[in-house]
Amino acid sequence: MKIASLVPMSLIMLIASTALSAEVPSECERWFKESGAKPGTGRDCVWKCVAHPVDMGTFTCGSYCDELCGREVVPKDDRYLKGTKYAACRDEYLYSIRHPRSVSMVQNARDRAFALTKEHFKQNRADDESDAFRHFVWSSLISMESGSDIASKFLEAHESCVTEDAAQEMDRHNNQTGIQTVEKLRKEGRLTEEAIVKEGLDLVKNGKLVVIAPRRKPK
Amino acid sequence: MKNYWTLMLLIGSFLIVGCNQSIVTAKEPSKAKKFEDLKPEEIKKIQKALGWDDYLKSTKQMSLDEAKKRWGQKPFSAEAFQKGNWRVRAPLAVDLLAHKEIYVGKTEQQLRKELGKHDGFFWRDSIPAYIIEDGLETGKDSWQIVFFVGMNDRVDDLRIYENN
Repeated sequence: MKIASLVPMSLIMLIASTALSAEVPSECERWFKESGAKPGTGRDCVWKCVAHPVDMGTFTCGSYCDELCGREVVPKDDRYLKGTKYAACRDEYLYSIRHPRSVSMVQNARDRAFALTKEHFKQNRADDESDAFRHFVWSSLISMESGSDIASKFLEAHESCVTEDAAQEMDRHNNQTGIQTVEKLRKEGRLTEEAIVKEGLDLVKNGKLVVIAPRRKPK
Repeated sequence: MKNYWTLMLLIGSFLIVGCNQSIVTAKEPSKAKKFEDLKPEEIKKIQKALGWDDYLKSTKQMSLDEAKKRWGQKPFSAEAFQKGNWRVRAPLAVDLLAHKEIYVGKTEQQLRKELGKHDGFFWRDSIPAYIIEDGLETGKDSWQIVFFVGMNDRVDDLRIYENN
């Protein structure tokens, strides 16, 4: 008896959730006009909207009252997510959720890498020497702070949204060189940020980092 | 009777193994998480922790009016933009900023095909940014036009930012 009643309930919930993930249906727009609610009148509009009777064809319409009243709604589908690709890749988000403690360290290392690249190359560009140096320094600093394992995993997640093979290969090589350099400096007992920067600049000058579009070497 | 207890022991073992398995899974729920499972609040929190919000706020942006004054405006041509240097690109980029609809909604693939490989840098390598003023040549600031591509792989917006 109980199981039998759960089946139609689940079906109704499934249909309702499918309806909610889509745009506002046209029948809800008609239903909203009939309610007499006026968009732009804030909560009055929402109250009138939600209080308006529904039937079998409009029973999910109350869920769209915020949208229909022109109010900012809490994102429930990909309206917020569509903007997320700017900030990080899918794998980076997942890595960050799984390793929340390493996120701020990764971020500090990134800020420092940006600043050091700007200091030595005057710009941060794509595919050139500044790009190679930035990746080298970033991976080195993460590795210095948290070890090569975290550096490799985070940077691999970071590379997952680079769509061009050549650019991805360039970044991977330069990241890996950074991680190996830190291991070398650690063994030699001279692991400091200054040593990393010096190694990075030397590697760029000597053509040891991968650069797709050479522009200029540091002075 | 002996068979009964053997059977009970077997069932008991299965239950213990099953419980342990579920405890292990429960200890690390995030391991099974997919990107689609992330809540908007979680995403927002990560973006903040990664410094995206601060980067946007701290990077100098140029308005359309300022851009017109600085570089002028010429009708956009993808071919000219792709072939030209930054001096050619700048007034075309101003026209793009004035007519965002030319690229908003286009796929990232279309964008790259029409404008070529980007040479600027904004926050991460995968964000298409094209240099429209090279400070190394002018001795002034460097500027770039940045295309924001969403999770749906389509351009959402484009803006002019300082390259730093």
